[in-house]
Amino acid sequence: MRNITITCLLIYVINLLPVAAFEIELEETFGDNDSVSTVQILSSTDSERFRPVINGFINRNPELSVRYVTASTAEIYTAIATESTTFDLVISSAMDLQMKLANDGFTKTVTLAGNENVPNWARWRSEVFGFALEPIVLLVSKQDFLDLKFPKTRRDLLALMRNNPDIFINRIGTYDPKISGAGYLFSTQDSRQSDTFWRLAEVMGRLNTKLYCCTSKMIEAVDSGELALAYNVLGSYANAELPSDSNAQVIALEDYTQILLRTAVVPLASKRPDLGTRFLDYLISVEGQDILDKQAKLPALNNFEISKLANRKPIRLDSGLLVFLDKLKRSAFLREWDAALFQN
Amino acid sequence: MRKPISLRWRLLVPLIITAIITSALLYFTMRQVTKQAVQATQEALLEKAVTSILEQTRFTENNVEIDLPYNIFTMLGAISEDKVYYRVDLDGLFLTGYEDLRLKNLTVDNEYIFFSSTIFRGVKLRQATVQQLFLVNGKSRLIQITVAQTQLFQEAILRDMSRNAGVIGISFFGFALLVALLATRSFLRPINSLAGTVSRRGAHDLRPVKGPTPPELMPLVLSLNGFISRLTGTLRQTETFIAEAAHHIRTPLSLVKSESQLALRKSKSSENRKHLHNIIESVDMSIRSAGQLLDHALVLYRSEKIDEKRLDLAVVVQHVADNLQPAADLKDIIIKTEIINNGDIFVMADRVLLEVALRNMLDNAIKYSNPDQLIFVKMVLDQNFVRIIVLDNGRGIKGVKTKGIHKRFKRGSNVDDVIGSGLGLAIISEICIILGGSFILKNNKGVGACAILQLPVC
Ligand SMILES: Nc1ncnc2c1ncn2[C@@H]1O[C@H](COP(=O)(O)OP(=O)(O)O)[C@@H](O)[C@H]1O
Ligand SMILES: [Mg+2]
Repeated sequence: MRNITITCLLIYVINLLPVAAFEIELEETFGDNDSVSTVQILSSTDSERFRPVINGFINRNPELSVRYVTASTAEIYTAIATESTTFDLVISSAMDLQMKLANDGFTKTVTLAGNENVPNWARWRSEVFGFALEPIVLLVSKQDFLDLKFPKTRRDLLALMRNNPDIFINRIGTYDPKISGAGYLFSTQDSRQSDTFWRLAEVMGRLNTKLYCCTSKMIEAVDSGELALAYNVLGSYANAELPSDSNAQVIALEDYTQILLRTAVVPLASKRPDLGTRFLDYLISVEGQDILDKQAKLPALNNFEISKLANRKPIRLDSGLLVFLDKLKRSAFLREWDAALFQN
Repeated sequence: MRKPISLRWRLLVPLIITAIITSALLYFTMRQVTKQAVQATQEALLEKAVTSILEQTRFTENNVEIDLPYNIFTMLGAISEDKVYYRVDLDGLFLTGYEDLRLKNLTVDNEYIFFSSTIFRGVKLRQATVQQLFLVNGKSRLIQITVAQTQLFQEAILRDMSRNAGVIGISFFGFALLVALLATRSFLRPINSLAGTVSRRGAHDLRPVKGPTPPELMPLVLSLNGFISRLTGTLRQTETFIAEAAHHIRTPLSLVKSESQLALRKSKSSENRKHLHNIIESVDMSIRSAGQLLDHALVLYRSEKIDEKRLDLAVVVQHVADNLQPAADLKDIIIKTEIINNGDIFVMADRVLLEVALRNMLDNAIKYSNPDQLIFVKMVLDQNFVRIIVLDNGRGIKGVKTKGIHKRFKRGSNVDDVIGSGLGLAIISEICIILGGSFILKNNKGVGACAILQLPVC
């Protein structure tokens, strides 16, 4: 009898495990091995950053364990939209891809116990829920700015780069929109905000800007002095990862600072949507938000510093986000980007 | 035979049906209008979306550039958070967007925007399609653009709207029902008040019905009044007949009485005298009864046209007592009137009727007293009423069933030995009703009876 139970359990567990055809970065399981059930989470946020919240969740729900799979935002989208994965919750910083998942009908409508914790601007229908903010900032290397004033606006930045090519040549970093979903989102949103962006891209191209896959690499490079500045960096990562005596200085540009929403959706294919919903509910709960903000250093929805940023421009969670995901629109944008950046 | 339908229902049912129909119409109209408004809004946005995509379409040598308008997509989702799908085809081949979204097949020269509804991924969509031919390098190329949106918002609005319309419809219905009830009430009020005035009337009040009446009720009032006047006529004839009959009886009886008295005076034999005495006494009784019959007819007659005046009660009482003293003298009875309050007691009454009532009270007292006794007439003021009390020391009515004693020709068991008509108390009671007073006859504490007539003072 017992054997049968175990076998059944095994079959059940095997069935439960998603077939990982997409590219997984890391997979980690939290909580007791003999837990009753497991919450399957697919996320673009490092498990290291998320650990405090997961532990907080498990403390509240000792009968549960959490299987936390990290992947890039693009892989996450593919995993949910085209592969038969059965994750219970999908966390991503790519708002546009999350939005597309919901619009295209891959997500479940969720009823949250703490529904009122998520303001209207941080949700789309009852399918996409924002749970953390992310200011997109400029990172500069202090040692290169001994004689220079920190730029306050993109116009300042433009003048700075134009006037000091010797400092900045080969020493500017930004996301590669072709390989990073987040980078693509930031640049497309930038292109909507002002024409300065294209001038910026041109100047960056002339200064032979290096393109990166991810924020952490850019942070490292600025901290070490390899880069003089990095444009469009995830602010929370910079704040969390940099030591207090770091060489890198975080600057929120005053003409506008984009604010990204980290969002979560419960996939339609989930076998235990209730567990996904439970985790999401924890994320938006007062306790979850507090842990996110204080321990995980992922700014909560009501983060005070962000709320008082001058000219903050939250990227709106709406159907407009679908536009740049259109393949024609994307190729047109990247063509333009290439033209600006690689003038040769 | 079917039970006749009440007036109230005859009125209420059509009113309620009208209210139901109006409420339902209101509900459906509101729903329809809202539906159209929401649909029109959505179509306007979809139209804007397809036309701006079309406007942004550029052909370069062998390439086509499609630009999806970010702001319009934002707007499409903004009011509703409805899901948005689109598809662009070039020369009938899928170019971008959602390949499983079916393009509406339009004839090539269609230039306007075509709206349709489809089911996409199990959800109902509203879809706007536009197409245009471009001439590029001498080749004509066909661009087809469609933008579709779910209608969850419309459904949500309609749900809200239906709820609101439902509330409004039901409130309207409730209001209409209330109005219908009030209308029915006010409609029936004249009828009820007419019925009230007629039924509140005294038994012999046969005056025609007057007062303001709605014109629709005039036929009823007129025929009622006609009926009353015919009835009055018949009654009057009856009473005239009684009065005449009483008169015709009284005259020969008076003759018999005076002849008998003459014979009594001439007669020597004690036997004869005794017989004659009896005859005279009986004739007296008969005369009195005939008088009472007359009184009764008089009361009925006067009740039709009362002549109310403010009367000094003491004067009336004294007058009646004085009138009856000769009759009392025959039995050596003295009537004592006690007037209190300096005689300052006034009543609003028809003097003739009041006198008849008092006369009958005193008449009984004299009739049922023994010779040489005293009769007291008192007046007691009690708040708004005055009680006229006639006390005698006669046989009283101890142990007599007084129930129904005031009915015509009903007499008590205590007076079997005395001839009487049984009309006295009937006359008094009828006058009481007319004057708005009350009358009781009860046994005195010591000996005799106590008749009390209570009247309102003024
Ligand atoms: N003063 C009275 N004393 C005793 N009985 C009375 C007196 N007045 C009335 N009654 C009783 O009330 C009855 C009805 O009175 P009434 O209607 O005057 O008729 P009648 O006097 O002709 O008998 C009398 O028959 C009698 O029984
Ligand atoms: Mg009598």
